[in-house]
Amino acid sequence: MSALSLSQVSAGYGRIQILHDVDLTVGDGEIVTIVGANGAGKTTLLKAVSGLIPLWGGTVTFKGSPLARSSVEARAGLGLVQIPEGRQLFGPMNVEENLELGAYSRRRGGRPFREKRDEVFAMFPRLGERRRQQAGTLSGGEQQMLAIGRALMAEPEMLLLDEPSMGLAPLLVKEIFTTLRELNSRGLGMLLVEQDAMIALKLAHRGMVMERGRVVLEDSASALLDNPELQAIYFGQRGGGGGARTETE
Amino acid sequence: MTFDQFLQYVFSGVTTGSIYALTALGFTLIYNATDVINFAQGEFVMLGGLTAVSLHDAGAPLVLAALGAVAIVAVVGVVFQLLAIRPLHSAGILAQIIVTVGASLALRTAAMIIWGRESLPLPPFTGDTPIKVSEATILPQTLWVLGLTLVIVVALQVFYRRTLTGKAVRACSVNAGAARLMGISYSKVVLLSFGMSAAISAAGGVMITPVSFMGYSYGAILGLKGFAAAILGGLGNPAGAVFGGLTLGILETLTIGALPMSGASGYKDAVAFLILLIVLFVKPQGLFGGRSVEKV
Repeated sequence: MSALSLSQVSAGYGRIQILHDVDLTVGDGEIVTIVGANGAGKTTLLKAVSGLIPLWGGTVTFKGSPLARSSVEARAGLGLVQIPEGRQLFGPMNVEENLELGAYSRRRGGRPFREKRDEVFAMFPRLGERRRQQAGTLSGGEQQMLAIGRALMAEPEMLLLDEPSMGLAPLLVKEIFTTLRELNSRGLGMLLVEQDAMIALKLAHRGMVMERGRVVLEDSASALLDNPELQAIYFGQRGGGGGARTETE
Repeated sequence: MTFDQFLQYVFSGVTTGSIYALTALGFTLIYNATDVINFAQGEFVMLGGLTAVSLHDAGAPLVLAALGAVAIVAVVGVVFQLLAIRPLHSAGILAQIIVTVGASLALRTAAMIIWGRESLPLPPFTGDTPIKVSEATILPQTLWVLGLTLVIVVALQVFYRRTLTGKAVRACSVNAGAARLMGISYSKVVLLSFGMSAAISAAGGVMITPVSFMGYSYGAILGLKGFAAAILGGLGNPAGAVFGGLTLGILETLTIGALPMSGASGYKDAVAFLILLIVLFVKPQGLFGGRSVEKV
């Protein structure tokens, strides 16, 4: 059974429709990536899943139950946790406070905070060294680590990741993606939106290509990596595609 | 001005300054949670004082009257958010600010109908025998005002720094969207902020009533002074709000003392706003300028 499934989802902003009848499933412990150019609707799709924008049509189902009536706040408690675009840390608050807030949805009945916090610090030792430092003063890579750590505090079953590579040096991107692979090997499912199609498809099991709010291609990640058409469109622009990082689709 | 006179003015200044500080804190709490400037804030101060008067007149002991007034006004703050602010959520901040102006007029008129036009007294918390400090005297009520203000400020800091709920409120003021993704209910945080804001300002009203009485119309000027204090300290900064309130209170009374002519107290209100104007010209973000900048 798929953990997360979208059926005929459409959504948009104001009067402008962005998503058109998107179908998508992510299985337990599976990584599915959505690649596509700026404005293809990738971020909008994640927002529709996390509830930050309302659905115009279609359904989103998580662990067998429809999410239509659960608020954004309730979804984290269900195990569906989003790491938003641009990290969105609580900048003036310190590292440990950010982690504490990450565990907010598990404040009753969750695993003990210290235990989870120490796991995050074990995974990202640099965060442990900077636990009293303001999140806003961390480097870009550390901020992304904290964003991941904060999401893990919610004891997720599925992560929604929005452009985790954004604004990071290639070496850091590699480090982050290694961590994601490790988390996945422990059974954590992921829906990954990423501009860097190459690195995303190398991590993912399956991939979908979006264009103008529609899924135009869906296949196993390895097949997509070998797809000559995609190679021409997306992988050719690697390194050159970093200029337009302010997308708000 | 002799030193004793100076001391006398400072005592009087910190008393009113504390009330400005509590009103400014009220502005800060709501502003941080919602970006709304609540122009009905002064009415919460007024309602606090007058409700305490009524409860005391009805036979409640002073302590219960004070606590009861704070609790009742907190409920008024929550209801105010639910009925007046929340329906305008999608209409934007400006519409919400304008409705607070309307609410302040409505509350003032309601108070006039309930309590009449007279200024009403409340007995001091513990007698009115002045305490001699050097050649100046200090009223026991002044000590109460100072002490309780300090308690409120410290309690607020503990709440924001040490409790998960307090941290959740701060998280919402930094990034409400991200806070919601963590499972924090933004609408509950907003309600809590309105309730606490109203309670804190009402406490100021209860404490100042034994010193200067309370009337239905007092909220307007107290609200403006509290707003000036909040701006002075840097809007959104709780420590700045307290500092701004005390500074404003002391400068007001000292100016009255320093001006040579009789009837100088008529200039008291002008002083507050003159100071505000100067600060805004020199440092538009206030003395402790706004929220800290986030590195993106």
